[in-house]
Order: sequence, then C-alpha cells, then structure tokens
Amino acid sequence: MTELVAPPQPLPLVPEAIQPRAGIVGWIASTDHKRIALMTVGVSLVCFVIFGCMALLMRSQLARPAQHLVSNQVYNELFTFHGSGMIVLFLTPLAVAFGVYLVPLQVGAPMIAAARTCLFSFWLYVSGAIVLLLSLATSRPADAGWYAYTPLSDSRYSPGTGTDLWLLGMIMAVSAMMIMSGCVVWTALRLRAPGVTLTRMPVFTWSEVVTCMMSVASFPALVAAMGMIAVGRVDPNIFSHDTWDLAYQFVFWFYGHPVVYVMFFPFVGCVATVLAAFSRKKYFGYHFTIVALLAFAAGSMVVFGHHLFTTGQSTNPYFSLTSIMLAVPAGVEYFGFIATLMGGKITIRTPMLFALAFIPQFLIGGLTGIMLATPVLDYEFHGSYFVVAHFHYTLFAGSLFGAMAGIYYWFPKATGVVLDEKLGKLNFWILLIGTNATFGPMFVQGFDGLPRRVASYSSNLGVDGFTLASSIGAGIIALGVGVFLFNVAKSLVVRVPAGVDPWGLGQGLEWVTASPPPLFNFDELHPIPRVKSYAPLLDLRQEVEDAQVGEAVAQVDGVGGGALPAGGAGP
Amino acid sequence: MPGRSWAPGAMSARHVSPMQGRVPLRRLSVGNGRSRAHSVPYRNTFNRVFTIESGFAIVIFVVVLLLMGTALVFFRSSRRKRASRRSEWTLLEGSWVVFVFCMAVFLVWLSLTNLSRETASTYKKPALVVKVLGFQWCWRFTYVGHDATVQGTCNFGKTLPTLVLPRNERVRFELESNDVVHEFWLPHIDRKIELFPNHVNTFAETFRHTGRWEGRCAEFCGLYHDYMEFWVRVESKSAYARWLAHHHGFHVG
Repeated sequence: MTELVAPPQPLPLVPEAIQPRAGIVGWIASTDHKRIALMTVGVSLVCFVIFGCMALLMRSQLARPAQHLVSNQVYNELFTFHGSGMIVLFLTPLAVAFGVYLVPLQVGAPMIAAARTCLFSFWLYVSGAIVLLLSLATSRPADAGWYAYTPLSDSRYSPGTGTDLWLLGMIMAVSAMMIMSGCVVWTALRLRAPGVTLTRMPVFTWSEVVTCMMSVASFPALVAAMGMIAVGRVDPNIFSHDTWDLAYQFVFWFYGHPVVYVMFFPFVGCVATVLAAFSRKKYFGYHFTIVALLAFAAGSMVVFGHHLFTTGQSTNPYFSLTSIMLAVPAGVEYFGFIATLMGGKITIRTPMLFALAFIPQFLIGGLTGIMLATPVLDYEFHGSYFVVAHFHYTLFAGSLFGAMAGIYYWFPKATGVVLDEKLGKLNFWILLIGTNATFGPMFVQGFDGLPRRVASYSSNLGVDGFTLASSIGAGIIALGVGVFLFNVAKSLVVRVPAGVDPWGLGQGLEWVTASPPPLFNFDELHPIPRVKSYAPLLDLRQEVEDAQVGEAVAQVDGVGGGALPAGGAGP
Repeated sequence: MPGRSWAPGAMSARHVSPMQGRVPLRRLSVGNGRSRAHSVPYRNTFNRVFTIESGFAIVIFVVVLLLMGTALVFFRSSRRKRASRRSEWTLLEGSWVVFVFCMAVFLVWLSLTNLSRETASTYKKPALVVKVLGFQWCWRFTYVGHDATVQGTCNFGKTLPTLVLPRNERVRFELESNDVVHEFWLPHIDRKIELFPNHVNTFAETFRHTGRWEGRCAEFCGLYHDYMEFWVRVESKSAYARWLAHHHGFHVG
C-alpha cells in the first residue's frame, strides 16, 4: 500500500526496459534505424571490397593485350559478379542505408517507420548477398553479364544452378532494398517532428525521398525481369518468340535506368549538404532543386529505351528526346552547387574535398551521357568501353565520391569518434588520381573500338597504353580504398571523441543530438530546437551572430561572431 | 577454291589457337591513308555530331571549373568575415532553367535531325542486299540473289569471314541471330545493330572508299564473345563483280 501512495517519480524519457540491448543480439535484432543502417553500410562495404577485388583481377588480365591470367569462363563470371554485385549489393544498399540512418534524424523522428520491416529487409538483403555469392561455389557460376539478356541466360546457354542462385540472390537483394526504401519514404512523409514541414526537410532528406520513391516504383520491374528468366530456365522454348527477348530488355531496363539514379541521388544529397555546411550557407535554390529532383525522378522512368537504341526495335527519337531533356534538372542541380559556393565562407576539409571533386567528375559522366543519348553517336559507342567509362564516371567518380563526402562528414555523428584528417586528405588525393587514371583512358579505348566484356583484345587496336593506364589506375584506387579502411579502423581504435558537432558547421537536426545519437534520437539533453527552415541549426547560429553584432554595436566594441548554439568546436 | 587465288597476300589470316593469343587483326590504311575519317557518309554524320557535342561539353566543363575556381579563390574563409545569407534568387534561377532548356532543345534537334536522315536511308532501294547471320561465335554473310555465302571457319578466329562489298552502292543488311543476341559492329564505320533470334533487323549503308576494316560482335554472347570478329572489305564495282563471279555457293574465309 505504501508504494502506491508514494509521490510519483519523474519518468525517464526512455524507460529502462527499452534501452538498447548490449552484445551481438542487440545489433542483429535491433529495430533501431541507426543500427540497421550501420549494419547495412558495413555489409555493403564488405561487398564493395569483394567485387572490387574482382575488378582488380579483370584489370590485371586486361593490362596487356592477348593475356590470359584467367580463362574466358572465369573472366565472364568476374564481370557478371562485379556488375551485379556493385549495383545490387553495394551502391543501392549504401544509398538507401544513408537514408535509413539520416532521414529520421533530419526530420526529428524518434525512429524509422515500420522498424521491424526495416530490420527484415536488412536480413533479406544479407540473405540475398549470400545466395548470390553461393553461385560462385557451383560448378558453373552465373556468367551471362549483369543484365543477363535472354536467351543467353536461359537453361540452354547458361545451364546449371549457378545462374539460378544468382537470379534468386538478385530478387532477394533488390526486393529488400525496395522494402527498406518504403520505410524511409514513410518516415519522411509521416513521422516528421512538429515544425518540420515538407519544405523544411533538408535537401538530403528530399534526395532520399525521391530516391526511395524511384526504387519502390522501379524495383518490381527487376523482379519481373528475373521472373521472366526463371520461366525461361524452366522452358527455354518460350524464347522462340522475339517479343519475349525484346520485352525482357525493356522490362529489365525499366529497373536498370532508375536504379542508376537510386545509386546517385542520395550522394547528390550528400554533396549538397557538405557544400552548404562548409560554405556556411543555406543550400542555394532549395525550391528549384526539390522540383528538379522530382522531375528527374519522374523522367528516370521514361528514358530506359536509350539502352536499346541498337536493338532496331525501340522508339529511338522518343527516348533520345526524353534522355537529353534530363539535362534540364541536372543543370538546376549544378546551378545549386555552384551558387552555394558563391558568396560562402569556405573551409576545405576532407568531406569538402570529395564534394568538390564530385562536381567536375560527375559532370564528365553527365556530358558523355548526352552523347550516349544521341542515337547517331550511340550507334558507335554502345557496348564499347566508352559506355564503361561513362557509367564509371557517374557511379564511381560521381556517386562514390559523394558517398565518401557523406561518410567523412557523418562518420563522427554515427560513431562518436572523428576520422583522421591527414589520412582523409591522403585518401582523397590517391582516389582522385586512381579514378581518373582508370576511367579517363577508357573513353579513348571505346572510341578506338574496344568492346566491353571481352576477356582479351588484340594489340592492333592501338589501345595498349590506355588499357595499361587503366590497370595501373585500378591499383591506385585499391590503395586509396586501403587508406580509407585503415583510417576507419584507426579512428575506431584511437577514439578521438567527436562531441555533438565536430565540424561546428552542421545545419540539420542530426547535429543537435549526441554522437552517436541516443536510442530515440533526441532526449531531454538534446531536444529538437525550433525549426524555421531546411537549415534549422544555421538559423540558430545566425540568430546568435546577429545578437552578438547587436551587442557589439551597442557596446561600440569589436566582439567577433561565430559562437555555436549547441556545443562543439569549430574547425 | 576459286576465291583463294584471288585473295591478296595481306589477307591471309595466321593460325593461332585461342588460348595462345589472338589473330593479329590489322587496320589497313588504304587509298589516301585516311581509312577512318570520311570513309562513309555515316562517319561524317558521326564526326559532325560528335564534334558539336564535344565542343559543347568542353565549354560547359571549363565554365563549371572556372566558376568553382572563382568560388574557391574569392570565398575562402581566410578572405571572408561572414557568408552571404542569400539562398534564393528566383529570377536568376528561372532564367537559368530557360537557358538550359533551350540548350537541351538544341541538342534534341541536333540528335533527331541527324537520326531521321540516317534512318531514311534504310528504306531507300538498295543495290545489294546482304543477309547477316550471327551465331556462337561466328558470322555468315549471304548475298541475296547471287547464290553466294561466306562464313568463317568458326573455330575461334582461325579464319575470319570477310564481307566483300561494292563501293558507292547502297547496301542493305538484313540481320538475324541463330541463337542468342549478338551485335554487328563496324567500329570504323560507326554503325552497329543487334541481331535477335526470330527477328530480322535492317539497316543500309553506302561505302564511299575502298579498304578493309575489322568488324566484331559488340553484345556479350557467351564464352568466346571476344573471338567473334570479321572483316569488311570494300572494292571497286568491277573488282567486286570479279569477286562475286568467283564465289558461287558456300565459301569459307
């Protein structure tokens, strides 16, 4: 009885019973979006290393003409796994995982929507990765290329369980990302904190919303396409109708083109965030950028036919028109990048270096994309190394550099420790040199007639020097990735604490909370401040600055501005 | 074989096993030595459009680099007391959208006009029709109405098939695959089209210069995709007629 009448104690915001569980179970069974996201990033980076090693093997083979370090069969397996692995198991999960981590924080939500579903999708992704890799353990692993055109991928031309496992792995991993994307969109649309209206969501959150809408809309097409192959593996006679072969290509690329933007938009968001933060400005042209992102996403669903210019059975003028018109939203994004830098107060740290390099490097990918969207040029370039160079400039020199900017920028928030700045800059310069040495010469190789997916080539093409440069560049990239992994490992061991905001420049709500954030993201020590725009922390900092200037004027004194509202040391 | 005695010495392919190395393909310079440039009208289309788009790309790239450089020089934290607070400029942004839209419309116009000119030639009456059959991992060329068929030895490049064509005549290609999807690519004539099973694709081309070029498969088609190559040789009309007269029936090489 006495207990019942005892005066009520103030309840802790997070009850003891739902504190995060310690140990490995606390991770693998966690419904905390931060842990799910970090596990996804971790698995995707493991995949990056695995499929990157395959790329190194291929570049070793192609370093010299007529070289056969591995057989044709093994080479064909290597590029099949490199392509599908990098797209489905590395960049797509990395892109979505960024959203799983950051979107709830940036919109002031305590958790991700459908948290258990989100956890399920992570495990579906891991299972898909394992199933896909198990294909390598069969007597004939998948070897029909990542887009596995029929009838090459049917049971007559690609017999054995290897291709079956690959199909299943693709379906599982892609479905997982479709589900995970749904959780991110739902969070942004339904769980925003009071004050965070749609037009006060940061550019990064918008980029994730748009990305995840694209994946929800386009990934089912991949499942359908893989299903077509699966049916064809049961009864290859289905492919005696041309309609089926052509329909496969259309259905596949209905997934295959939007997925490129899925792997790219979140990293545009990273670049935009980093540029704005290190210029100490709000991202310039917010509304135009959001509309451009939405238009880009809508457009991404109607350009897939440019992958089929040389089928002789596609509407080339239409797809050329739609593809080239994507230059308009892309132009708006670039305007935002440059205009954000202009008039800023720019500090250059490692994330900023990666973000700045993204701008011209992705531009090379985009401008050559316009050439490939022109059928009379694509008739020459299709299926050549020019295309390989183009999409590696968009996905490696572009997306991966954006991802590195994001990783360097948010690593302190996610782990509570800072990355080494000197190693970071070393990492940047090595990757910059390696990337351009690898993919730049591929434009020339393609222009001179080297087709993609060849296990060897003749020295009479006159591209020996360029292929050797690409192979050396690949080694330099490997070195750069090594420096990055060493930097991560070292930082996690040395543990220099990050504080709330080690940059002192953060603009989104993720920078008001602890590093790493508590279980439900914000607590009584780290409440959500008033949100008046898409850069709430910058607003607060400017208010402080104005107040100080006001005081200084009043006192006729020279007190400098720049104090931060919420802890953290400036650079 | 009658064709053998006719073939010039430079044409003899060396025998190399696939695992030891490649058939040494050589791009022969012919005539005035400009085998690549201006070899066919199509190349001219490619050159013109590629030059315009490259120039356009280079200008954009340089402008973006200059703007970035300007920002990095003049707006470094060491030079600035505080950052601008302007984050929108609707008139400027709107004007930029209109400008980029106009550029895109120009590029679309450039693309579509050249494409329609090229597509139109496919439907004009050809002087010669050649059926191209692709299969793993070889080619067969059949001269319609002439009872002549040429095919390689098809054991991974020992003897590549040679497609012999008359100069200054419109040739229509009718292409089909016997198994998986292949792609017929003439890298130095800048034209390629896929070969589907159970479907015939068509394109036409007029070759303006005599010479010999290598062609190959550009769509991954299985184990020995990289060996799926062929020769294209363009001859004067009389030399072509002589060649054809000696090539009744089925020929290898």
